[in-house]
Amino acid sequence: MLLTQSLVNGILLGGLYACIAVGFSLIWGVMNLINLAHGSFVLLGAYVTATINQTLGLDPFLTIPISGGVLFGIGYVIQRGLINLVIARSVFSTLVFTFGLNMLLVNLLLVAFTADLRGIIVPYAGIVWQVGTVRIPLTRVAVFASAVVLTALLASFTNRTRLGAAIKATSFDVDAARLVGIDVDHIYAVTFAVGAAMAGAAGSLIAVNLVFSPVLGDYYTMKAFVVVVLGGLGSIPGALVGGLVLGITDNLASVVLDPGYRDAVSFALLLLVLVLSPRGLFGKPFYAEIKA
Amino acid sequence: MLQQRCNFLGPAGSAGFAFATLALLVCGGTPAAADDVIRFGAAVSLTGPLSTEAKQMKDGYDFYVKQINERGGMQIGGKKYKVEIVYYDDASNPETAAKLTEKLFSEDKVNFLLGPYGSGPTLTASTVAEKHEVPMVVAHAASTAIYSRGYKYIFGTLTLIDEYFGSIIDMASKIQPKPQSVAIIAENALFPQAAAEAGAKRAEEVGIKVVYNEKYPTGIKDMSSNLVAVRERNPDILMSAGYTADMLLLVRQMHEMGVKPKLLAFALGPSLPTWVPTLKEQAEGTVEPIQWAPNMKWKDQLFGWTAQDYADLYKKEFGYVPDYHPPQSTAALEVFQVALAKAGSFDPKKVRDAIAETDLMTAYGPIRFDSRGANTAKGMAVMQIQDGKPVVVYPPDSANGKLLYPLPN
Amino acid sequence: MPRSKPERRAPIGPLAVAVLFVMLIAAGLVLNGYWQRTLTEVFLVATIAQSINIIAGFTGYAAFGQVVFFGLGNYTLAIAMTSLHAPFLAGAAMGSVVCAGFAMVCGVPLFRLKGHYFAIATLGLNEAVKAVVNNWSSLTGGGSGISLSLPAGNDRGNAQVFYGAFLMLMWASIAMVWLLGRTRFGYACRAIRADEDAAASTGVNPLFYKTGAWMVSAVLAGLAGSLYAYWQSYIEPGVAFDMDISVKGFVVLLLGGAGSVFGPIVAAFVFQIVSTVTWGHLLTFHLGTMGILIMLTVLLLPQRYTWSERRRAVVAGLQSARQRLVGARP
Repeated sequence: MLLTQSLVNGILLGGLYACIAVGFSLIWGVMNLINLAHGSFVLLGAYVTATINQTLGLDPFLTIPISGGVLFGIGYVIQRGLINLVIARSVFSTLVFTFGLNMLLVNLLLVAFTADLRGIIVPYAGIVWQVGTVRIPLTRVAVFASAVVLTALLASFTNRTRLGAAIKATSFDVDAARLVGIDVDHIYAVTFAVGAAMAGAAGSLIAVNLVFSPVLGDYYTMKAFVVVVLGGLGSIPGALVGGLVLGITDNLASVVLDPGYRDAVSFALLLLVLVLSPRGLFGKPFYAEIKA
Repeated sequence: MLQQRCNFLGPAGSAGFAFATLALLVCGGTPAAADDVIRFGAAVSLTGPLSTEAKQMKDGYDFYVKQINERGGMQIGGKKYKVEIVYYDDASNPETAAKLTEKLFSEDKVNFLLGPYGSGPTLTASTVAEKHEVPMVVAHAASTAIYSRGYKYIFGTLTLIDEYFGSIIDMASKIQPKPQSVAIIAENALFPQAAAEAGAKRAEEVGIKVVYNEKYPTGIKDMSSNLVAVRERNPDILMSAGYTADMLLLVRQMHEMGVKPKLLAFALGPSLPTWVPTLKEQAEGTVEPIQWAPNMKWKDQLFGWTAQDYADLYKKEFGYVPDYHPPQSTAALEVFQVALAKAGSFDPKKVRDAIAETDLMTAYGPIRFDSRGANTAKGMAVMQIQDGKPVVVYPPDSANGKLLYPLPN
Repeated sequence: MPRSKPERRAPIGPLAVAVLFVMLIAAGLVLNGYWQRTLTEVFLVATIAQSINIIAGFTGYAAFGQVVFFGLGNYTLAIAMTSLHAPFLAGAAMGSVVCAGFAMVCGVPLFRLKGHYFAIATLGLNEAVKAVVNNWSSLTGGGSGISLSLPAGNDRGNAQVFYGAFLMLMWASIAMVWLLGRTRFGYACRAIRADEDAAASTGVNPLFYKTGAWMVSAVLAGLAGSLYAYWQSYIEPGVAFDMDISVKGFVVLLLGGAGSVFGPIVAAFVFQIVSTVTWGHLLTFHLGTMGILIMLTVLLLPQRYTWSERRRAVVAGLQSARQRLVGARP
């Protein structure tokens, strides 16, 4: 009974985790860049949604294209103007760089929005379906569905469009991509922008279910790490599966073990996967691996 | 050749840099204080997750400064001294709070210290104050741990953590028919855990069964597992303590998971400005023990304000209705005011002794310190959100409304 | 590719070292509490940077979660002193053993990973240990932390003792890095950084050297942690296992030059001044300013790891510029 509810909660949460992580995974897999500012991008999306919802009264789900679009633009500019300058450097240079970027973004958010907690309660937040003893809130299902749809959209983008093909080509072999005439700088910028856009969209979803403030972004970055490692670098179905696995283990750990140990379990899982199978469930040999 | 000349790094370079650093830092010190001014130092959380609450704390200090300076300043040994407060931002980090307290003492040479916001920073900052034997009055940290170390120079004006859930239980024990069970969910951090422990203990003492008492990890984003477990046990009372974001999440998920206690209490939450706007109808009926409310029947010995007068004056000055943080800050400075007048000097030991003998009534409430330095004269009141507004429902002589129990479904 | 010489100091080296040593001791006796504390922090940051230097700078494995050893040192000492009533030195020694042991045990599975994966794994390790410490309340006090009793004695004397202790630890870390640069052990580590497979084929056992280096770096970080706990008299998981400490160490190392002996020391001083000044004067924007400075540090520093390599690059650049100005000779 308790277990079933936990399982359901875990699945619903997992979809959200997947959406948060998939942009992160794309950026890491294609550009070999770990973006520690990812959590702040998610928050930015949440703030865009909250602001629009407050001023125009628009339903948060409808603001997803807007937050995605805004983050796409911001991501493109940041990559082209800033990240591109350090992209070729060592592991710890880029990690430190994006850490610094994150500090800047958090401070900007604090100045713009203060540390006040924000959340959105939609008019239909009270609708909860009951199946046996299991309660399934409408908003959580909507978030899950949106997350899956967004992830599927991203998959079709990379698999079916020319731009997506160019991104995949670049991720396999940068030099070969250049040889066939791909503008790698532009592709990197687009990849980063798409990753940021996905983060922004995930932010919109977060605004529906959770409360947020500028200093709470690292949580999402950490979750993204675990999901990507579980599911495999650069793989979109991997991110989905990884998200679900994480969501379920998180919730089951709370029920089966002490609720306090859920974080320990997440990270133990991360370590286990890294040690036993670094490529995760769906990872393929990638530029990231060759470079590493 | 160029290479040898360029060999400036290494030990020689380090020596050079170290010297330059020291010279720079020491020479760039702060200017000396002016006469006729008494300076207090405070590390406040201007940035960081608790900055919204801490801003109210700082405003409370500033309110006092304005009020006292309008009246010429503090009277100490025959002369009036204007009050000045030096602030630094500790971002709620305990190490930074300690470092800044050290700075306030050694560099800025403030005369006395005010406590930071929150128990973690206060624990470390008070250690520094105690080491330097400078009196520090704490207005914003309620953990008993702070006052259990045998320190002599640390005093706290606010009611301690034991009373937070304790007052809820006391109120509950007087309800007819008496609630039978209580569930507690608290964040795995110093303050919430202390509240939970004290609350559980008080419940056992009055015969209310503790059916669930669990921690949740900091930064949690999904409390449904805890809540489902609570729902199974169907408690009459649910009490929770933790970071505000988690409390807001708890309420929302409670409704999703169908947890329906008859009484819902939070150690901190409903009194904050974001609570009602964020939760809207879900905030109805939530309860919080509070250190102070504008309708308390206290009258300030020094300034003559009642609690309501204070609230009105404050609103005029700062543009918002104060919760309990500002008067808490103001009271701390009033303690100093009285002690300094009594001691007649700035001598830390004399002032410390004078503070220990405090017996003062303020708009915030009565203040008398026990041997640990904690204020045991004042109790907590309990408020409940009714129609989106806070209503004091306990104790009976301070109440301006009746407790809504049980909560309607 | 330029031949990488071991870091040989110019003849003025030993004298400068002695001068620096004496100066810092004198400073400890003369300065007031706040500056003493500030310098003590510099020594702490420098020690952490040197600890990271040993693992990341020499073997090339970026242990992003290095702070886990700092935290373990903190907690071992705190538990030893409060629950076991051990004196400080015993507690610190226990902390070192725990850290070395932990590095040895975790090294075996983790050193199979490379690059980003290793960095992430150490990050995960730190978070996992932090989570366990947070929850094992009976042993660690959980989220409420542990309060240690104040050391006996007068305050000024104690502050000076801590200043001296951190100073000695920093010198120990400098000595370790210096030694590493001159011994076979260090040479093997640098060979691993340059090309692990090639090094393995010449008979170097990579796991042995990597684990050894990590153990040494762990002990340094652990001792820093033990001292820190005693100094602060209160620790909690969020502070003891704070990723910011690791990041600060990496930034300082980047600034000072990985593999360099004194670079991180200078960088620690510079970083701390800048940090203190921005904190004091930019009340609402110090976080952002530090972020910008960190980004600038990464952007502007040339890719070469050590300052001697950077110096060579600068010199070579200047020479070629001069040749171009003068005109190419036949």
